[in-house]
Amino acid sequence: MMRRFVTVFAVVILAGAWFYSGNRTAAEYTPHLTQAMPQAAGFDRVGGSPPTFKAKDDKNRDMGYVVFGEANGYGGPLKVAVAVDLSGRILQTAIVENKETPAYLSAVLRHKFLEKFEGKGVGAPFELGEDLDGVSGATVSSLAVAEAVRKASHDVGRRQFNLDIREKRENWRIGLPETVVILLYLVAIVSVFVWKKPNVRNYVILAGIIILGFWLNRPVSLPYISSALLGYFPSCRQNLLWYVILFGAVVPALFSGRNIYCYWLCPFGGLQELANRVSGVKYGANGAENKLRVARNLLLWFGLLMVFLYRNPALGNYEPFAAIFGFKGTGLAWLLLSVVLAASVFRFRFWCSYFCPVGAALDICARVSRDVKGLFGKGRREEIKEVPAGSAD
Amino acid sequence: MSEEKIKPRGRNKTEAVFIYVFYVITFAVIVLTFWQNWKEFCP
Repeated sequence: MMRRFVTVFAVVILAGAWFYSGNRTAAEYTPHLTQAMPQAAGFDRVGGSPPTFKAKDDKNRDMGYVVFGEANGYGGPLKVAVAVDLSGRILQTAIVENKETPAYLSAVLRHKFLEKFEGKGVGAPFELGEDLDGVSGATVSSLAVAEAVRKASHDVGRRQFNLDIREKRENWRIGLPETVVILLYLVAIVSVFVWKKPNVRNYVILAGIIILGFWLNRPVSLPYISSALLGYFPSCRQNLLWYVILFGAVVPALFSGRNIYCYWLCPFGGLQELANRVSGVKYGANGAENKLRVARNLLLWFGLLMVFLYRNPALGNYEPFAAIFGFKGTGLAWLLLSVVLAASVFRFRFWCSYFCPVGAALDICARVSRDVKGLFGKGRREEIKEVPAGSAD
Repeated sequence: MSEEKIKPRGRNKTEAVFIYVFYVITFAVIVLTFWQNWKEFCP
């Protein structure tokens, strides 16, 4: 009874935070104008939505335009300011607001991705793979920057330069990564539900480490879940991988009541298993240690609360995935990674057992599914044959 | 929590203490990470 009350209370607080922050809207553009065109002495708003500003020098002569554009990145909306000269060439671009994971954003800045727009005409396509090269390891963020700059530039091109710029229909980005990840998820799902061959798992999880981990650096993480809960969905055609990775984990849990992702696909779970094999000590949690698992739900709740309050998925991101798989991370992320991998030598899937917010969220989805099936009289709860992510036996 | 309770299936006391020490360190680092995120995004 007490447990149910605490759960309801926690959900109500989260819902309250979601609605409260949703009602706060702040679209303040003026502080960012000088960031985009520092040489200008003043700005006049000339309309548009998002607004366009005409830049003036100290003698009140026209210098060009500053226009804003927005797209959804890895962590949510990403806003850029684009400065354009009077001939329609881009002078400078600046990211004025973002919710990206700092490691990904710093990769974009370190690779001088913003400077690649300078000198291009406002009517350029601004497409990765066409006139721009993305930043490896931060593809979603670089796609978002390109899309935001494209929207802003094309808007100012049409309105201020009377150019006939037609938006091309976005192409589906289906390449090797998308195909391989879809196949990997299919193999895991078919192995569980059709072949029923648990011994295939060792190969699948190894492929998960290589593909979702070290190759693509795209394990399901809390920012994926919180972005979806906030309604921050990136362009489907350009970010199909984002949808496959997230919904490939959530949908089977919701429909079958089984959390397949954690035990079959998660690259970080797989790495912990490898660390555990070093010692050969394959202990799971015992009764008393199981109580420590409450931290998983607590951290998931607190992470989502931060995210909802500030509408920023990066705020709840505490997982060390970017450090291990992208070799990008803060000192704390590296420290966390070292401690977790060292602990995994002694405790089977230490992170999964006590701290993983994704595991907690997927387990909740699976439990809800089983409870709903139980409610509608589909017989007693299905016995889960897989080993839960956090236990060894 | 008594020591008997945390001694599972042949695990000795040292191993149990290890897990608890790692748990506390990990939790502390996660709290620091939240604080760092908050400092970075909500100045």
